[in-house]
Order: sequence, then C-alpha cells, then structure tokens
Amino acid sequence: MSTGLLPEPDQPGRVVDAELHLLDRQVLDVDGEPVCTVDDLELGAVGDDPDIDRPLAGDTTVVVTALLSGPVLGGVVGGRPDSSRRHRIAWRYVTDIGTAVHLGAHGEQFSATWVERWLRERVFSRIPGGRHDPEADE
Amino acid sequence: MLVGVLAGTLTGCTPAGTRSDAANVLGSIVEHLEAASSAVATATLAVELHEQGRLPAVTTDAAVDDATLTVSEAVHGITTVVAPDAGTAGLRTTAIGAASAALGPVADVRTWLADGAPEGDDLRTALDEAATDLEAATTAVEQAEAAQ
Amino acid sequence: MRGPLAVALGILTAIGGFLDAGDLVTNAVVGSRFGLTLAWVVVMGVIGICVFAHMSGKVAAVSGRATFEIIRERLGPRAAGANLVASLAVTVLTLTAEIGGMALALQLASSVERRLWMPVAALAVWLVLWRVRFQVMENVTGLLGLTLIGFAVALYLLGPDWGELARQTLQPAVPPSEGAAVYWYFAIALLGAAMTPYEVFFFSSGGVEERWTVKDLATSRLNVFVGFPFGGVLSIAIAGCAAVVLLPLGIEVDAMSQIVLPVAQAGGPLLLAVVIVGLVSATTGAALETALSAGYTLSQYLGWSWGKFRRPAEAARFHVAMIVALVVAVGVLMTGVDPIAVTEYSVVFSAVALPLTYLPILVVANDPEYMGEHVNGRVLNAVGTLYLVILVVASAAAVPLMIVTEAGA
Repeated sequence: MSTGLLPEPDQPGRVVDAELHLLDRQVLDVDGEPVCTVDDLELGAVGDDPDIDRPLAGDTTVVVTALLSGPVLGGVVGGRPDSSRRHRIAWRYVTDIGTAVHLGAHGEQFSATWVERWLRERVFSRIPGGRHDPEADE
Repeated sequence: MLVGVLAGTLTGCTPAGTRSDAANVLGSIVEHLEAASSAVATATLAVELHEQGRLPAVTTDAAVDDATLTVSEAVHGITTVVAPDAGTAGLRTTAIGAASAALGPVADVRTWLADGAPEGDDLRTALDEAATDLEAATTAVEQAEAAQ
Repeated sequence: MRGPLAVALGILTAIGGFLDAGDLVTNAVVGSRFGLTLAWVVVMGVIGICVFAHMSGKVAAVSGRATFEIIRERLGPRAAGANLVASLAVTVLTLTAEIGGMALALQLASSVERRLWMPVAALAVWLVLWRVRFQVMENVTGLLGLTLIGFAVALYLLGPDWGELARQTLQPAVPPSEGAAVYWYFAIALLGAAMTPYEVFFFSSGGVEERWTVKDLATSRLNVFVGFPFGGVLSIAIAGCAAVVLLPLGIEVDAMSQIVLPVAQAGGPLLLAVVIVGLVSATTGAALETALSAGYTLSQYLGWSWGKFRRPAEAARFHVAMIVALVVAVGVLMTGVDPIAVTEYSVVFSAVALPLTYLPILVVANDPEYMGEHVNGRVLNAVGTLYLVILVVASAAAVPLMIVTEAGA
C-alpha cells in the first residue's frame, strides 16, 4: 500500500508516500479541531466509483479513496481488523497534507467523531461548567 | 521486560520473610531494628522541637503517628521472620523485646501532647532507654551476623 | 502579558513547578542515608531535563504538534502503542504518588487523617482541571511552590559545616554504612525523580495549550535553562537539610513528617508553615500535570480532541481519560498502601521508562519535515545522545538493582 498515486485536490503533481505522510497522522477539520488519526487507507482503481467495492487487479493503478479510522491494534491477535467497524472519511474532503491531514469540512459530520459527540451531548453538557470556556475572562 | 518488571515489583513488595538461612534472617532483623531506632529517634526529635516551641502540636502528632506505625511494622516484621535454628530464635526474641518495648514510649508522646502527662523529662528518659535497648539488640544481632 | 514581567513569571513558575512528590521524598530519603554524596545525580538529571524539555518545547512551538502525536506518527501504531501503555502506567503511578503526597502534606497542617484527605485532594484536582484556565493553574501552583525555598533558608539557618557538604558533593563516595548496590539504586531513583517522563509530555502539550510559536522559543529556553537549575538547587537543599539534621541521629526518612523536621528545627513554626504551603502546592501542581499528561498522551495517540484551552464538552474523551486516571489513583491509595512507598516505586519505574520517552523526542527534533530550519544543532544532539546512552543503562539496571537491594532496604 506504500505508494498509491493520489488524486490531487489542490496540489497538482504532488506524489505523497502513503506510509510516511498519511498513516498515523492526526486529521484536523476545517476549524483545526482534531477528528481522528489515519489508522488505515482505502484504495480503489483510478476512475472507479469509490463507493463500489470491487477487487483490484495486480496491475491496476490505485488511488486513495478514503481515510479510515477505527480499531488499530486488532491485528495483534491475528487477522485484520473488521473493516465494517472502521469509520470512512472520503478522500474528496482532504484539502492539505502537512504535519497533519486537513479536511475541508466540519468534524461533526463524520462518523469517526460519534463517541465524542455522544459524550458531549449526553454527559458533559449536563455537568455544570461543561460548556464553560476556560479562556474566557471570568 | 514486563515479566522482569513484575518480578521486581513482587520481590520489592514482599517483606524479607522469604529469606531462610541464618545470615539473611539476621540481616533482616537488623533492618527492622534500624527502622525502629529511626522511628524512636524521630519521636525524640519531635518531642524536643515541640518543647522548644518550634514544632506545632498538629505536626508533632503527625510525626509521632508515623513513628508509631514504623515501630509496629518493625515488630511485625521481626515476629514473622522464620528462624532456622535455636540461636537465631533467641536473638529474634531479644529483638522482639527491644522493638516492642519502644512502642509504649512512642505511643505515650501522643498522650503527652494531648494531656501533658507523663512529664516531658520522664518521656524523654523512656525514649532514650528504648533507643539504648534497640541499639544493644542491634549490636548483638550484628555480631551474630558477622560470626556467620 | 509580555516583557520582563512575563519572563520573570515564567522562570519563577519553572522553579516552583520543578519539584514534585518524587523529588521531595527521594531527595529527603537520600539525604538522610547518603548525605550529599548523590547530589551529582541531581545535577546530571537537571541538565538532562533542561535539554529534553527544551527540545520538546521546540517541537511543539515549531510544528504545533505535541509529542505523542509525533511518536505515533513516527513509530507506527504498535511500537507507539506499547510506548503509550508503559508511559500511561508510569504517569498514573506518578499521579497516585502526587495525590498521596497532597494528602500527607495536608495531614501535617491538620489533624485530619490522610485517607480522608485523599478523595478530597483528587476532587480538588478535578475541579481545577474542569474549570481553571491553564495559565492561571500553572502560575498559581508554580508561584506557591516557590515557598519550598524554605528548605534552602532552613539549610542556611542550620549553619552546617559547608566544607563537609561541599566535600561530599564534589568527591562522592559510598558511605561506609551503605552498600554499593543500594547507592546505585538510589542514584537511579534520583535520576528518575529529576527527569520524570510526564514532564516532557506536559511541557510539549503545554506549549500547544499556550499556543507557542517560534517567537516564544527564546522565552521558553530561558524558563527552562534558568528555572530548572534553581529547582535542582532546592532539591539539593532538601537533601542537605536531611543530611545535616536526620543523618547524625540515625533517622532514615520513611514519612513526609520527617522531611519537615529540619525545617522546624531551623526556622520554627513560621518557616514550617511556609514549607508546608510549598509541599501542598508542589504536589498539587504535579498532580494536575500528571493527570493532564495521562489525558494528553492517550488523546494524542488516538487523535481525540484534547486540551484545557477547549471547553470540557469539546474535549469530552480527554476529560473522561483524566477522570478515569484520578479514580484509579484514589482507588490504589484507598487500599491503604503507603504513599511514600508508591512514590519510591514511581521514580524507579520512571527511570525504567525514560528511554521510551526521550528517544522519540530526539528523533523528531532532528526531523526537517517537522522542524524545518529549527532541527537540533550538533551540540544539542551530542548531549542528547550521551544522555540517551546513560538513560538506557539506568533503565536496564533499575529492575535488577531493585531485586538485589529489595527496593533499597
């Protein structure tokens, strides 16, 4: 999976080493809020509809179609982690790759943040001070 | 590595009660006696500082509370050492006597703090005697240890 | 706040923030048993923490990414995951020691039993984490921790034989009453106390919390290289007090109450009160920093949103992680385990974990992708590599020495 040709959102001609520049990187949303880390990548053939899962032939040129987030250490006890338990972030949302991977959308819309959102809405908002901005002057 | 860490923790946590041969047993008794001596010295220092008005009652009490705990742990530690022969057992009995005798004077410090009795002088004499007895017991055990 | 006042505040906070329960206890224990013959280890530890705290602060300021995000990025999920587990275990153990230390220090000023103080202390820590602004938290605990200068004042008032203390420091030798293995065991414990791994996680994540940029590098360097050495001086003063008063009486420190006896002897109730304020602040500050570090490392590894600069609800999992760490710490303490023993184990296991923390920082500080033109210079790399060798040796020797000496008995 190391060197897939990537579709270029806004930096035409840039080739990125998937292992070195994508895997295990922090993903930030459009406001710079953390979303998840890149635990794995989803690959597809050039020109394919990324939402249709199709086996790849050995000589097909592949591109990254999505960032995946989910249980990362499942492989320790053998076998690969179940892909259905992973959260997808489609590649079209990626706007920039630097020391972090930047998205052009809000983190709330991705399933990867559901635990965070659930805790926020069901638990932390109800504890006094949970919505208090610590940087605001008292 | 993890196994090593665990083994280290367990070894570190178990009292020296697992030592079996006489030299190790005596070494363990010396360690407990030294801990008891250290606690008696702490109580004595705390009493002196309190009498001089340098140490408030509440902190003196905390120091003596800790000293009491150390002495009783030392007594417990010596009592649970398994002596392999009659000679070692005799020394152990001496050590138990010296360490237990220190419990009374150290505990009396807290009464003295609350109640003013026994007299400060009597209290210090009792603590000094306890310290001397502990030292004598330590020397005896150390000599036996050196002879092993 | 900018200008000289901010610089002074930063330095003072670094001095006060340097000491924690591990430093207090280990230095007093060592002073009462070895005099100042191990003071050289404190000097070595201070230089090491200066170099690596500076490096991790630099990484945070230049890249805007905190240490554990980068450790994961560079080591991959497995190796970084193993590192995370070890670091978290040591950090939570240190947190346990700090909360125990808070309870012991509070007990010195009240007749309330320590086990009643423990949950109260943990609750107070949580409230600060929940509500108080990062800078306020750091400055208040740091400045109040500065009252530990009382130990240096006490040492001066005791009027010791300075020549003898200097001789012990400069020509160290194993005291006749102690074995060589025990000496080296406590040397490693002191190194672990001075260079505790959480300080590096905290320093780099704190840089992100305070939104450091390259412009703040000079200030951060000054805080570290001036503040920490003064903190080291206070460490040695604590050992010195124990060496002058407790060592001649045959008192081996095994309780917090013994640490303050020399202070009472030198300065009476007033100086004692000042120092107790310092003990409470230093342990509270360190409890806050270790709880935050537990949250930082876990959140950064897993890519969660983290930081005290966010509303608690917007870093929900980060706050859950800190609450869990606090609950575990109190749970361990409520079993009745001796907090001083916990502290002694925490510094030794810190020493075991040191290379895990320090190697990745050295690697990242040399990575031009993160650091650009700010990659380490040759001198910094040479010192860093030298320390790494020392840390690996200390880490490998720690557990065998613990077994041989029965944890320094």
